[in-house]
Amino acid sequence: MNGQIYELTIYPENDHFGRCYAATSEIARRLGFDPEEEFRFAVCVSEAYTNAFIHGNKSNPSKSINVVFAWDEETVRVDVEDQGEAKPQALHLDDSRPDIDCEKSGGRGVGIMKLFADRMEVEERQEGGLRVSISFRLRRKNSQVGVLLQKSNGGVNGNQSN
Amino acid sequence: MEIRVTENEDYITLSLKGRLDFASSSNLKEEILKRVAQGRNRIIVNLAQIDFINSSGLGTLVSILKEVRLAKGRLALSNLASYVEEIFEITQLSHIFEIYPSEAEAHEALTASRVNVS
Repeated sequence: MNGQIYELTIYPENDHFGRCYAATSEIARRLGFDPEEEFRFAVCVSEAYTNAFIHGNKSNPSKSINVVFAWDEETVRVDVEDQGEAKPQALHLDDSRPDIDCEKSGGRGVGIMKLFADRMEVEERQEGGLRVSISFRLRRKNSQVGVLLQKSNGGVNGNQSN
Repeated sequence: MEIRVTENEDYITLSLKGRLDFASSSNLKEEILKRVAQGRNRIIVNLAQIDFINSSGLGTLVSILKEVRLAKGRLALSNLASYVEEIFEITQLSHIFEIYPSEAEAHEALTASRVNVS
């Protein structure tokens, strides 16, 4: 992707879900998403991040999660990378649906991502762990893709590059 | 997430504000189950100020619903934003939850059925 990149390394301390959400919301605003698009985008990133923390890193406090936002004029892609030992098959990508047995309390995340995102892929990283990539086509023209992102609060290491 | 609890004679309302996700779900479950254990089993959860919910939040609501049912109670959701309602639709959870446009309508439904049952 020939555009801009914003990368966060998040350690599971304090409000780490909140820091991921704050960064996601900031990117969504820069890209000019309306509230509904922002909600869908935030849900997908949150599902990937939650899976990385719980199923990938097994809630290990010493393992971080990388969240990489990359966008150009047409697409925004988010890569969420854990440091765990799970295999891609663990996410049941092919048969996951959001409308599983309603009485179940879990198992909806991957199905929701598949439905809300335009594209979703899972791969093993060479250095270990999984990378979940979700992509969205940008449908609006009022984005501010060139505006420098402000770093989030403490605990998040953010880097932006062109 | 902030949780504001309003106790009424025959039901309680929990008004949520913020994000209902993995981090905040356990607080909500604890708050509700504490009151269910005290015999308060008619519950309205007002989602008007929830600006984010994911599958962890949905799963927690399902878990709470099952506990309320076990206590022979009812759980109603109200004031969902359109994009929050959408996620209940696509997960089919709109089929198992009682969802009302307003807290007043949720209250009316719970109260009316209470009269019918007794």
